[in-house]
Amino acid sequence: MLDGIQFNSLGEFLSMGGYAFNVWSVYALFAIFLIANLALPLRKRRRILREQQRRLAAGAGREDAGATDRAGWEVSQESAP
Amino acid sequence: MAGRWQWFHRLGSPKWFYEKTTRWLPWLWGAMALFLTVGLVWALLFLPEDYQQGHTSRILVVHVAVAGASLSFFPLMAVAGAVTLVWRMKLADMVARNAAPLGAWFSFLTLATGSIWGSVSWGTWWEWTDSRLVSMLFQFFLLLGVISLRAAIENTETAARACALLSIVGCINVVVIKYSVDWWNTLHQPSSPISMEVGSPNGPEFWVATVVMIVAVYLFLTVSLILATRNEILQRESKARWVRELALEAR
Repeated sequence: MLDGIQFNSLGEFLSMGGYAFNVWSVYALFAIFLIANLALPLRKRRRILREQQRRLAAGAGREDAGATDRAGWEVSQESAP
Repeated sequence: MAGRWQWFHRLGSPKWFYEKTTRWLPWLWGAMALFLTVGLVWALLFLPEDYQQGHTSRILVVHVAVAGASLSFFPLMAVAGAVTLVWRMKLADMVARNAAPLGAWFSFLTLATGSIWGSVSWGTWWEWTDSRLVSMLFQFFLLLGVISLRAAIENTETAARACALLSIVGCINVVVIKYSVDWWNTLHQPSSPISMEVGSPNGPEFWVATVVMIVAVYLFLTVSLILATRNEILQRESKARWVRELALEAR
């Protein structure tokens, strides 16, 4: 199985036959793209839940619900029928 | 309203979506990690050198997968938009809204990786006369347009309707991107025919690696979109009892 590896040494792997910049910059961009679009929503989720907990602790649970129509869409006060 | 339509209204309920995805997410994460690992190891270590491109063919495994998936955003947003327009389903709009920035990321990465590959194989980073390159750049700007349109309209439902219409119209550009290489003969080559013979150009060692990466990228798209949509549900439904209970349970 390991015979299938195309490189004989780590140096050869890193140099990518002279195209190290092209190959590695693509894989670096791909890694940033993957990590950013998974880590950022997870971090935002923790922030949302923390804010919720703070608001609930501050007694904001008593405030009345925002204006929504039957389908649950937010309605601003001016445009509400 | 009752009976046969009940499933449809349940489907549109943010709470239903949230609970279902809580159960799906571990499996999706696992499948994504598996396909991504196999795809990356294969592309970086086991993919043979291409007889013309040398090691730069490793770029194409990522480029083709991301580019292909980037074409799914406008159709996805158009279907979600149509559901928003016809049934006023709020969940569909939440998905569409979060798809736009992710689609912009996909389009940008397609352009960047293609450019880095082209700088070697074509000897140029960019070519304004190439229909594939320009139509993909146009998709990137269209997605930024959808995001700005959403931000510019204050009323949530009006913004949702406007974005839905723009998404439906934007699908025309997807067709242009797809067939650009066949309609106009320019720099970007059409997709290579696959071969069943190992050792031939685009033999299984190339295209199976690409298929694995395509599956990995679609799983990633699904996970990321679900995470973003769940965040929006938590924000927009923050006054609902179930969200409050969930926030209190979370530590």
